[in-house]
Amino acid sequence: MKKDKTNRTKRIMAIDDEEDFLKLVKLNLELNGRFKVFTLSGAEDIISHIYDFKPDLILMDLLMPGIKGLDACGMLKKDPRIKNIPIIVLSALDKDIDKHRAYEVGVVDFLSKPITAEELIDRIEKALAS
Amino acid sequence: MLINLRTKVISITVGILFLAMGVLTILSTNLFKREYSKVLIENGFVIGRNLEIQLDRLLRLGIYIKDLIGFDEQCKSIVEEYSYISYAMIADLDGIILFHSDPIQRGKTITEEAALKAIRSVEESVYISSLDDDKYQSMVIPILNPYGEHIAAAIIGFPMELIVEATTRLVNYSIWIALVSFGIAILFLVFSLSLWVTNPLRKLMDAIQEIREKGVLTARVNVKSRDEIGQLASTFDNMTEELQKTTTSIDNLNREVVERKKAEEKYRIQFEGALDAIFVADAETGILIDCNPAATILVGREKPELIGKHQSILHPPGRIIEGEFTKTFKEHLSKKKGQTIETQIITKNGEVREVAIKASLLEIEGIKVMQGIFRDVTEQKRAEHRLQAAYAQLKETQDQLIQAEKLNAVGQLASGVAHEVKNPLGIILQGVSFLEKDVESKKAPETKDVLDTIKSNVHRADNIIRALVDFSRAGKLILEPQDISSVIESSLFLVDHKIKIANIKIIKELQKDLPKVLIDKNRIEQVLVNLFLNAIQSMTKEGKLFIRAYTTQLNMVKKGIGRRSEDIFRPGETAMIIEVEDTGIGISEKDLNRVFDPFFTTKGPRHGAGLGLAVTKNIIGMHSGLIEMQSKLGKGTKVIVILKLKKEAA
Repeated sequence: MKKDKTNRTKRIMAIDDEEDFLKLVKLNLELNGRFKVFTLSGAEDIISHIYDFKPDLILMDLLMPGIKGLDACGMLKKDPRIKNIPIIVLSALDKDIDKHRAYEVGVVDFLSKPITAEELIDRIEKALAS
Repeated sequence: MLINLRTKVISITVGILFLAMGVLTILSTNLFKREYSKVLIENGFVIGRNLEIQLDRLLRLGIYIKDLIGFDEQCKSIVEEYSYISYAMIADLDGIILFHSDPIQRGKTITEEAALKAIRSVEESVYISSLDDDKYQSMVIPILNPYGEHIAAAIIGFPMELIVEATTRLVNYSIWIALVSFGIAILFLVFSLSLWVTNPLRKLMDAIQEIREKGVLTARVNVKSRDEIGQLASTFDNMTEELQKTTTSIDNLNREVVERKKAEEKYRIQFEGALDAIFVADAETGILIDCNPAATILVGREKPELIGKHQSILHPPGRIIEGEFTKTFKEHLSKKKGQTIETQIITKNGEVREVAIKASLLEIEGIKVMQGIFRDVTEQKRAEHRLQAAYAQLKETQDQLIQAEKLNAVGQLASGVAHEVKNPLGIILQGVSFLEKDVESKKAPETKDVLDTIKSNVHRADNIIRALVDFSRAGKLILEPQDISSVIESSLFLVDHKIKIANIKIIKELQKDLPKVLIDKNRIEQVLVNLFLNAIQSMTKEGKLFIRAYTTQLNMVKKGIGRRSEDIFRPGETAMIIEVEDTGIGISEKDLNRVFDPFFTTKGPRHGAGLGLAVTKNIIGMHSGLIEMQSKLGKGTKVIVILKLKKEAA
């Protein structure tokens, strides 16, 4: 995906096993008016969904049933058409080792739950701007 | 000796025998000589009288004597008949030989005075005549004529030599018989001496010898004879038996004496060499009568200083009095066994020492004495105290360990549930965020306030979870040599805005050229931020925050820095000191002891979980460091962190 610095609506893909969390993140981001959010409750078939949705940024949970977030990130980073999409980890984990691993895989930011909508939007915008 | 005795007896016997024999010989020889000559003289007289009778018969025929012819033949026949007769003759009173057995002699005149005197005597008489050097015994019988006139004398003679010869023969014979008899007698004497005297004596001697040389008192003579020697032997045997009995009892006595001496010596050796102090005192008066070298060492007094003194000299005044001594004594009498008293003694230079005394009652030469064995238990007591202290410390450490384990378990649990809790918190916060936007348009300030409350409490819950997880993180430190000044700077940077808000003045006193120290930078930052935040929160307005860092040589680890301080730091070791001092409200002495306890807080529920200092201490502990807090209410608080300066870090 090409980087786009225009003010058009940004497409955010959020993957998390917590349906409630996804629902509220979607509400908060879309309420802001600058984001279009697509949610996935698991990392299965993530690549085809990315092809379909074409997100500008991916919010990735780490601890999920089935495919783990870091593994999914690794998969995405191997796909040349996807690898440039910035990934932000948004997880309940916050240990240094988790952060270290995540950055090694190539994520741009690591956010720990709980997080306010303001901070989330702030970090997403920073990631998109870089 | 025995032979000597026999020889002596025999010699004496032989001597006596020979003496007797000699005397007897002399006596018997004289006797025999006399008797024999008497017999010969008597016989001579008889023969002479026969000759006189023959002549008288002729004379009675009226023949004149001088006319007789052939009377020589009569004389001659007598000499022939009696061989021992040398001559027979008739002589007239003038001494003229009228008839002679040797006719040649007829007509010769006898001139010898003794012979003439005898011839002229009217009595029968004898005389000894010498003729041609030989001596002759002559018997003279007067011859009367029929008228009774003395006219001549018949003379019969025999040689004196005859008597000597006979005597000699007899003596020789007697001597021979005597010698043989002596010989037999001596043999018998020897035999009987052996049988009755020497053999029993030898037995006696042997027995004596055996007793004397070998000391065998069972030796017996066993002589059954009833004589004096037998009696002697049996007396000896009885005596030996008595001696044996006496000796046995003396031996037993000696053995007893030796054993007693040995026992005494053994006691003395034990007494003198005993490691424990031993005092012996008169049981009645309590006056010391003996003590061993260990005792003098124990009380630091020489023996002469102790002997004769009352035993109370050993004890601190008022500690053991005479009464207690007596009590021990009485109890000992009734129970018949020693009892141990724990008490104190006092040395010459006034040092009081703890002792255990085992007292026992003895009797020495009829005097009842109390023997006290003193064992110095001062060190033991001290060791016991130390042990008790160590045990108490161990117990405390154990309690802490248990608590730490519990906390660790809580931490583990927290770590496990953190994710589960954080997710709902995340949802709540997202929900709040949404509602805030929604409320904003509706202008409802109360709802906004409620949402703020929810939001702050989500953060509070999140902080608790975070702190719990931090606390449980006992994982490996990422140790790297760090410049502590820059760590302090970066930590200050993290709290910069809060410092500015509170208008606090930072005063840094950092030693120049500080060596690098081996630490986990993030953790130490966490510690410093924690300490800075605590300091900031304690200062309500315009406080001062002193931050110091320097190296120092630890002389003695300060009291209160940490219980295991001795283990962590050695005196003389150089360490890095970081001090964070504020001018805040301070902490009460009561609370000061608990500030490092988990979940202890003075700030109220809004400001934290009470885990900050517990985590801080944990991190410092993981660095093998120490943390200490000093505080005074209203004056401020000083936190001192001591970190090891490892060689690699220098």
